Amino acid sequence: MKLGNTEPIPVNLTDAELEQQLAELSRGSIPFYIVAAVAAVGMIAGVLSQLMFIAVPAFIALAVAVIFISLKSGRKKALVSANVTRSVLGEVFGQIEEYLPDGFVSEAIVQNADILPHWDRIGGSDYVRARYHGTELYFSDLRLAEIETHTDSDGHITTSEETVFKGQWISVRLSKTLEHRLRLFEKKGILGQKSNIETENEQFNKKYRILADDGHTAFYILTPHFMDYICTADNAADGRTRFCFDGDRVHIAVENKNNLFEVGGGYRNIAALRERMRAEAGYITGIIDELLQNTYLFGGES
Amino acid sequence: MPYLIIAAVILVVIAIWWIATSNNFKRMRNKINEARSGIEIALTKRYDMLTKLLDVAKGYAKHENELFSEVIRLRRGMTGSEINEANAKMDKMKESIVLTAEAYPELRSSELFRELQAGIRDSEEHLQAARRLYNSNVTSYNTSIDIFPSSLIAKASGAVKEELFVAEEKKLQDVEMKF
Repeated sequence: MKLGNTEPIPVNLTDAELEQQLAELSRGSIPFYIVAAVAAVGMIAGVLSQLMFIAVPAFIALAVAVIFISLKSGRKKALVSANVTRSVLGEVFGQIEEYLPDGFVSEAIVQNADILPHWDRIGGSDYVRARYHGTELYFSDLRLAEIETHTDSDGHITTSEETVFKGQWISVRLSKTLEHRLRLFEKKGILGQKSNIETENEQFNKKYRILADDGHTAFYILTPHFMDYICTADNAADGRTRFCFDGDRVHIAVENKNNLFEVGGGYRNIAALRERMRAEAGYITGIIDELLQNTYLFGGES
Repeated sequence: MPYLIIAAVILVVIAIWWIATSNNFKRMRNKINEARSGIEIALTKRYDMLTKLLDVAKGYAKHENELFSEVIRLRRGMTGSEINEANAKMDKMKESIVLTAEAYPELRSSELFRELQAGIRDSEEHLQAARRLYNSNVTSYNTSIDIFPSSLIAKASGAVKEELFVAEEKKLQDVEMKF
């Protein structure tokens, strides 16, 4: 029984070879799942009955099992990333400049855009930098969490983690450099939703909270046509969207609680997995396609 | 005694509201003036770009003395109709250049001409943005004059509604610059 695999990730595997390797990894994980389940029960029983000689070894066994499960899971992800995800991304985007299965958008970029709620921990995966129809872009899955600390009456401190954002961060290069920043927040609820700019489009004003550092730049970006494209892009996103137009980029945060390009456990075969990933990549391009209709901001004009 | 205190509090609240609303009217007026200035700046930029493009066109069409001869005057504090008039003359200037470019293919294909065309397009987008910002500010101001209770302050201070910047009829039709 292999406990870990430090061999380099093979690429250019056939579907049959890849399925075989994934099946082996899944089978190899089963003993660790069993150990983890038994250890968890043992740990709970030991703690409840205050038998530390049971609880402590059970905890150690659980920790080791979890480590090995995550190693195998990581290996599966690496195999799929190298043999399926990268090729699917290449098909859909045309020109992939960088793909990091474990990478994500820089925290500084997310912070400077200032369109997401406060967080204490940032994470993500599947960072892609590509050229799509001649436009440079990058995106990744993104997860932000807040850590809360509670102290009970006995002075015991417990921490809990709450996800405040889960979805994708997409960043597309503009063909112009804007002098001032414009941010759009899709509204949720009624309170704290005041804009500092009102456009002529009532539907748009109701849908988005508009925060502009400069009124002229806001109207320069938010032409009547482009406001329609933004709304259509939001429909394509099927999640809560936020936009930040800053400098020579537009950043889009899509909160859909999804994690794209993951292996998961529910695929029938590699072909089905590839199809699912193609649809996920198409989800990203569906949003971008709407925005790229604005050839004035994104180039493409002769 | 308690009634006196209540009355005093009410008076203070009304006074604060009166001052805040008056100041808001002044802020809105300043924003309108600033937006009008933005239109003038955008108009000037459009004029500068068109003038440069005209000079390039004249360099190719040396025999055509009457390429464009109307005088366009821009100044600070132009009225809406003066702005419209200046813009209409710039449209004629642009038409004149387009017609010339159709007759001189080497002009159309010159790098400088293409750059200036892109610059003019950008200046027109800025002009549109400036107009829309102006209209947005005027709409907010006019609405405050109309609705109660800020209409009381408006009446007391003699505030008058501002005119929206309206595009000329023919501008509402689609006009393409064809080459």
